[in-house]
Amino acid sequence: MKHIATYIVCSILPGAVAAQTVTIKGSVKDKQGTLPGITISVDNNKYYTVTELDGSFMLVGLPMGQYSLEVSSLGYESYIKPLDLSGDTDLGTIELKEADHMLNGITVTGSLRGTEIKALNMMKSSMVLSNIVSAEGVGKLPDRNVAEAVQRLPGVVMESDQGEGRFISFRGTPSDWSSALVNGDRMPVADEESKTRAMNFDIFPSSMVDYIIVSKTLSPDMEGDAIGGSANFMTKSAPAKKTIQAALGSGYNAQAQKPVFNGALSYGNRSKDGKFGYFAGASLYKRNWATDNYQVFYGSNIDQSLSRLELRDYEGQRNTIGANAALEYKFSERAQIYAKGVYGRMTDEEYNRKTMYNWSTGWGQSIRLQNIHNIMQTDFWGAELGGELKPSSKLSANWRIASYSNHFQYGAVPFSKGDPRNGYHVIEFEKSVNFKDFLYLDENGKVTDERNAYDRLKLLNIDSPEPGYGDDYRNIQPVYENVPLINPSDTSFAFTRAYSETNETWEKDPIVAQLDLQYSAGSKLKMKFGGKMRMKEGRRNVGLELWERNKNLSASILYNNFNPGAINERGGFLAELGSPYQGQMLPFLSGKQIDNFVNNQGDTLRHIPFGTATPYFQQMVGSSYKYKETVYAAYAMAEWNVSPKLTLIPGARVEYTSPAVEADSIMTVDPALGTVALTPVRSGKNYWSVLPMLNAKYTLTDKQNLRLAITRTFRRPNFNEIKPGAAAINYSNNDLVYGNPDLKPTYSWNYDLAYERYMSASSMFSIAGFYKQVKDHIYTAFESSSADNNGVSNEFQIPGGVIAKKFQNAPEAFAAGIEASLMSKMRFLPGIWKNLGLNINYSYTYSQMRIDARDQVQALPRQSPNVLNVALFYENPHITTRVGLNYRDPYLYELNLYAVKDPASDKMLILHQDNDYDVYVGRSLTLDFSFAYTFKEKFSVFTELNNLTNTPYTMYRGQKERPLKTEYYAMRGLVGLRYNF
Amino acid sequence: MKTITKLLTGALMIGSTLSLSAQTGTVKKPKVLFIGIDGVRSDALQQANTPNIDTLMAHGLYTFDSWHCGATSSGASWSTMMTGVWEAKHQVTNNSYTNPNYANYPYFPKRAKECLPNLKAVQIITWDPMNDPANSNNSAGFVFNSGFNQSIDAGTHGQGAVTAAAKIQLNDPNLDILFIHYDETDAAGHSSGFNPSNAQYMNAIQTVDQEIGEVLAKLYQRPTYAQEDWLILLTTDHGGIGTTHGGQSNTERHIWWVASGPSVPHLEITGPDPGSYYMPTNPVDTTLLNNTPVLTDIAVTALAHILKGAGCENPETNPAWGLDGKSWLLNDTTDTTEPENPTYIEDVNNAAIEFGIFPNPNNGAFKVAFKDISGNIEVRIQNINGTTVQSKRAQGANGLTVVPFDLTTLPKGIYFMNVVNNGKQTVRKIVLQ
Repeated sequence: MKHIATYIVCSILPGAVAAQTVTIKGSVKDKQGTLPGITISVDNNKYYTVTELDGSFMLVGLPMGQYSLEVSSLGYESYIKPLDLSGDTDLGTIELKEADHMLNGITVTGSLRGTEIKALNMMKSSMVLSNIVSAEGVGKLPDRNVAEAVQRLPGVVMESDQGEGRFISFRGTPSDWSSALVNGDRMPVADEESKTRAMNFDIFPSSMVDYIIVSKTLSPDMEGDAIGGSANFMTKSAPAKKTIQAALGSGYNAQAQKPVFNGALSYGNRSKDGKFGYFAGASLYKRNWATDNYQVFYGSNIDQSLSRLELRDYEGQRNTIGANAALEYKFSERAQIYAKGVYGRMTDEEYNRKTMYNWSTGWGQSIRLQNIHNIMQTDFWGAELGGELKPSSKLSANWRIASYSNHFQYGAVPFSKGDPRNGYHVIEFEKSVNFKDFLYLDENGKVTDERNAYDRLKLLNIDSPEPGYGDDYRNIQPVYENVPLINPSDTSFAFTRAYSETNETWEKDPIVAQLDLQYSAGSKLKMKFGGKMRMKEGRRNVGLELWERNKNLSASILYNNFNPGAINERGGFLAELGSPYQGQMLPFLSGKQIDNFVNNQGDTLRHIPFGTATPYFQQMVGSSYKYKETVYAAYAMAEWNVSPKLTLIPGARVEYTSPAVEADSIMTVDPALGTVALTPVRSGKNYWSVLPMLNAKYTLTDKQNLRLAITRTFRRPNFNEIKPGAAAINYSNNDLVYGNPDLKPTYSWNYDLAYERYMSASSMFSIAGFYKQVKDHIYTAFESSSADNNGVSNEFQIPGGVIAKKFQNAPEAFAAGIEASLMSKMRFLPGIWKNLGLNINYSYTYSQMRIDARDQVQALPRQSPNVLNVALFYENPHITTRVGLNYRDPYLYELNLYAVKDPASDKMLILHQDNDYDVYVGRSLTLDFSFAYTFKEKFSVFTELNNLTNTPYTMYRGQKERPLKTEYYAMRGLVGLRYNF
Repeated sequence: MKTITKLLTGALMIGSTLSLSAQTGTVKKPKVLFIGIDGVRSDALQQANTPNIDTLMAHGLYTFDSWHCGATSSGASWSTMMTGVWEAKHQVTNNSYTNPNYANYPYFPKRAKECLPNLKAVQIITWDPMNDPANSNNSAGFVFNSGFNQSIDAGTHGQGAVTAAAKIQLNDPNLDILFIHYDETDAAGHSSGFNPSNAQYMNAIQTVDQEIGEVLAKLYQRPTYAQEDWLILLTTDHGGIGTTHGGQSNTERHIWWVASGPSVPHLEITGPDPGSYYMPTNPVDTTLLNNTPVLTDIAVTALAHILKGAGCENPETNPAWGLDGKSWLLNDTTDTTEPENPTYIEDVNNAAIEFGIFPNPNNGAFKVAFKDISGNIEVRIQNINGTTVQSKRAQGANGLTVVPFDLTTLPKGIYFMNVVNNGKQTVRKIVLQ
């Protein structure tokens, strides 16, 4: 490989190698540590380079002679030194002095400011359009996981789960258009629900991270499957000197009305000769949480009638444990080796109590109570071994081999650990009622009585044809009466079933191997070549263990015999809406009663193990699959300093993807008896992705950059999207999703143009425009159901039928937008106000896609038009305080392309051309606050308050007055003490 | 109840083809094929093109006036039909089957076996709550004490699998009772509307009719068919409203059923709404309930048939069974006492030309169906004054000849249909409602 690279370089640029030239090298640091992203300029940018992450630099191909060397950087005094070069020269360590320190006469303690300056320097000198947040920047934010930290960066949006950050996206593009990397690798994903390749970052505590590099344009040496952008989380490595950090905090979650606890400890050091360094850290984040939620189900694609109202009360406790370690050994200047390890575990124990008002009458009108308990457990680990070799002054090689694993399973509920029947455990009771709140319409749509009705609808006021009829969307009230007394179970709730939804999902990347070669072909040209290989395997395995009453042996099991307790409404269920459901959240079983229910009932219940002899097996078989994927990638790129002002990075990356998905489909063994067996089905189409890229940076002045990038990137289809065989059924959402083995990967040509102006060490302004031309965007489309889902009606069917969906490619789509950012310290203000600062980032994106099913062009699903982040902060040597605001527009989540087959023409007729039946995610506006006071140099007390606006997470159908899901998390906060040595 | 049977027999004795066994002197073994099609509204069935169902009607007793007196959800409705008692007894009020009382009110095959323990009964379903896991490929399901030797869940494979399994079962010469259930019609209604103007729903009804045709063809091919006395029962469980059902509107309650075979009279029965256990403003009138066709009659008619000549206690009156329904079987007693609450009955067996009118009464849209008829057919519709308001001609053929009429623009009331074929003439009364 080395020879080939050398050969290529030699044949392209014979002159550059042949000339009589010398090399200079060295490293740059400040008082606190190494400085990456610092420009090393010779003779006023005639020759220049930029320091690496470890602060080192090397400039080759300088003709012998006399020069002036200048090391200049934001926030530091310039370092100028005359050079007389007659041979290769090691300049050793250049230490820069902080400029602000001198100017303002303020004693800057610790490395707090330095790291932020570092980040800005790296951004300025980066060859791609990027933003960097440092460990220090992370620590300053009131965020416990990295997804929350990274959302503070310009143009980054967070998708949250139960109020905590989980997925990230860029400039409002769909979250799985973006890649989240750890130390440059895409992570394996194992999530209970999400089947995308987007990492679930709630298991990843921010204390493990050193830098987060967010790149909005890619270069060929980065993983190419990122259309929106890429976030690279660099875990901590061995520090330059002894470092001890400790933090201890405790807080309160207002929704749960319960405490929160956080602790972190880390230690790092380096041997006296500087050759051996190590770091180890661990953190624990334990928090109680709670959610008030109501969900509305619409029973039909034909009209907007309500089929079900669910009042859901969640209470839970999350524990995140994170640990990481790093070792590093320098054999010599020419060779070093390192190892890193990361471990994260999150357990989320959840009690969920659902009161379900079921208007949909196919089943029989009823109220159902579900007592739910489950523990979700995610374990993640990664290990990496790597090194750097510099066989000559012009050639360096970086290699690494890594292995990662991510694993989800349910914990020991309701049985002991390891029992395969553990899962999302539900004990369900039901009572028949008659609802009295229907609107009855005759054949002509006129109001009539029940007897002569042609339509019976429960409607919201916005959908009601009759003035005065219909509920407000914030106050949907069920009105019902008991059914005529037929047997005791009709006036009191009676047991219907218990079940555990089981799920074991894992993904491993057993081997990820990477080699990068960098060859300095001359003073103005660096070449980079490399290759990467990743093996991936994974599995999703879901099931359903069911317990029914032995009806021929026992009498009905009445709810009241368990003395269910009134729910703790913690200040009022949905108090944000004025507690409209007082008394409608019915009594529930205790956690112990839920756990012991199945065992205590003994032979009264009949266990129906998951297997081919259960009807839901045949329906769930499509939800389980396993897969393998091998990816080979190779790239070549050049970094060409065309002129003192212009740098070009042309290059290309080629990725070869070889996926194989295996799922099961059902085969009839004996039609006379209805017995079935499984047959495996396989799919997987190999594909080549050729990704040419060009990044250009033009340095208008020392403090102004102009950047242009033309890049081609892609998105691999998720494994569930190309899965063959039966449809996957999601009982919670009552939908049924077919994979599409013929799906093509999505490709995007991305055009980015940006202007950056750096005003000072911590002030900058940028404006960027982007255009993404996307081919084959993958989206879920609704499909006709009844023709395809023969026989899905069983006891797990919810009246109103299930909704069938299929993944499809949208042939053409685009997203275009502009983005502006300002990071400013208000040095111009008088007195103490000069310590005020403001960061603002705003992006506006317009997107559209054209699909066959709709006449009109359509916004891209999961794309937010307006995204705004604002942070107002005040920093002096003792006080750091910050108020952060995040705003995101509502966005289209899923299209309703429900169709019915016209029996005459055999054509599918799309029912809805407008967006009235489409699913949206509602707007989000969150406000967070943090405050830290530093004393005795090493100690600080801090406080963090999240979700001050108590913003609900909402989803709706067509318009916000037609809610699907509304969830409130309330405020949470933490107060603590931090120690830095 | 008793009087109804008497009335029927009285009206039908002349020229009746009943009771082949009595005529030939050999005892044919009574057997029951019960076909359930879920969620088929009366008006939709009447408008759909369903030649196989039409043929069954033409050779049987049928009604579009079977009023549902309970909850119009599937669990409750099928339980009523299978047990022959209303919800107060079987206690299934919705699809959760929270507390079914099959122990005291079992499925009719179980009752039949109390008298004839060696009967063989099989059910084939796709709707899993109806499964009896005691002897099934499906270990879940809510039914017990059903008396089925085998309960086959055709699972997610749809109605084709039901038909395929039924055809295999019909090969078994020992089979006595077969219940098969098709669910696609209900699924179509839920997904796109229980509505005759919904093409998808209508298509589902027409498709299931073809499935039924296949099953019937297989039945007729049984080598032992000539020695057997099959009663074919065909019903739905409820109608629908919008995209749902389970309530008490007329379109959900006002349903239909067919009993076809030599042991039942060949006529259409109509009747008024006997009320509902769920409608305080329309309570059940027990007198009416005893005269009009209702869901509980299905199990009782099936029992009366299967136990015919076995010397068992009369299923209608057996106090140990406590059944609510009545049998519509022909019996051989002759009693011409006038009914206390006469139900409109038309004698179709005594006609010179055999044909069926579907539906009748109707809103003006109906079809006239002839089976295996030759020559020209002329159909004239006359009003009560004898004025011809519409007439049509058709060419007879082997199999079914269907002549559609649309009189919806005419005033409601009584009309006469005058049919002439090969020099014969038959006049029938039609009621436009």
